[in-house]
Amino acid sequence: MNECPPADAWKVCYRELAPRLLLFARQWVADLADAEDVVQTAFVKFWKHQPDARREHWPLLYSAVRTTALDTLRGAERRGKREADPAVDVLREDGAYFDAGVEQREEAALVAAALQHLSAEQREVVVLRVWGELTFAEIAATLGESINTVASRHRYALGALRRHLQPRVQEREPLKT
Amino acid sequence: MNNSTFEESLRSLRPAAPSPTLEQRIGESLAGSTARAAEAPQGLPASGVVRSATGAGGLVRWWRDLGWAIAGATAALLALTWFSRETPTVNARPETAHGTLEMAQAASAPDTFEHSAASEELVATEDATEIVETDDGLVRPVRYTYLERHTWANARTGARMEIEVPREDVYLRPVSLQ
Repeated sequence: MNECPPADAWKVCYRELAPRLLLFARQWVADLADAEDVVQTAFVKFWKHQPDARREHWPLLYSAVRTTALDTLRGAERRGKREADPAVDVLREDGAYFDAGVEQREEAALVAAALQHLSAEQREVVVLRVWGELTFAEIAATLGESINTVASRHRYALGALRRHLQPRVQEREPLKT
Repeated sequence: MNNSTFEESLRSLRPAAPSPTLEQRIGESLAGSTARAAEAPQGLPASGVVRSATGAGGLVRWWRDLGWAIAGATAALLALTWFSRETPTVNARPETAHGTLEMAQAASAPDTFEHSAASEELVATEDATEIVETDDGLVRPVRYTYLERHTWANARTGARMEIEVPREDVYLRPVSLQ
């Protein structure tokens, strides 16, 4: 017999994924309020279709966030609200993207700044892999790319991040490259 | 430091949590959609098959539908009778003649298969990793794989025959090491 999921089952999924989804959404939508709107729209849409969401459904949720974020971005561009290249705005408020304590605040700022130097394709892969904790196969399903493409983008992205973080890390120790 | 260790050190930074109001808004949206679904009238499901109501008026509707069906059939019969009287053998002739002409042309066509179409599709490109030294210098072999399609048609019978042939071309691209 199929058991209906409890009415607030979504909260378990939401509380586990919300910070990752928000970080993923903010690659395209820099404004925090807009990014939260994206997460809300995507999550509600997803949950209506997958009320018993399991781990294997998560790529669909990331995919919904991506689609909604891109729709929002296109809408904003059409309205002429974004005056500059959206990629420039991405992740501009360093610490705000990571829940960093005092001792990690500088690291968070360095990493956020380094992420800005990646291409959009590399950045979405590295965010999904490192902070979304998806496998390459799941990332490939989310982005509609082949696993090889995703893996190579991730490799290049890590290399680029190392290069950007290296000079700073030589001055101070915490983030190991 | 390898990639996985580097990844782990990046992962030690936790993404910032959204504002508490977001959870509340999502809860309200989900509750709203559930309530709307529950409030939908029973007789009008949101999807699926809409069942027709049955009851005391069923017999009346049945007789009414039967009446319409009989009226439609009668009209169709009358129309057929009328047109069969208006279009005797004269109108049938051109169609027959036209059909006969086509058949005659097909019959006069040779009973052979003739090449009617050919196409090729690039399926894959494989760039070799090794570099080969030739008299003209260093070259890198690049393999192009195509799929050729050839079609033959028989005009008399209308039969078609199609074959697919894989083809590989290897090109030697000059390489400069500078």
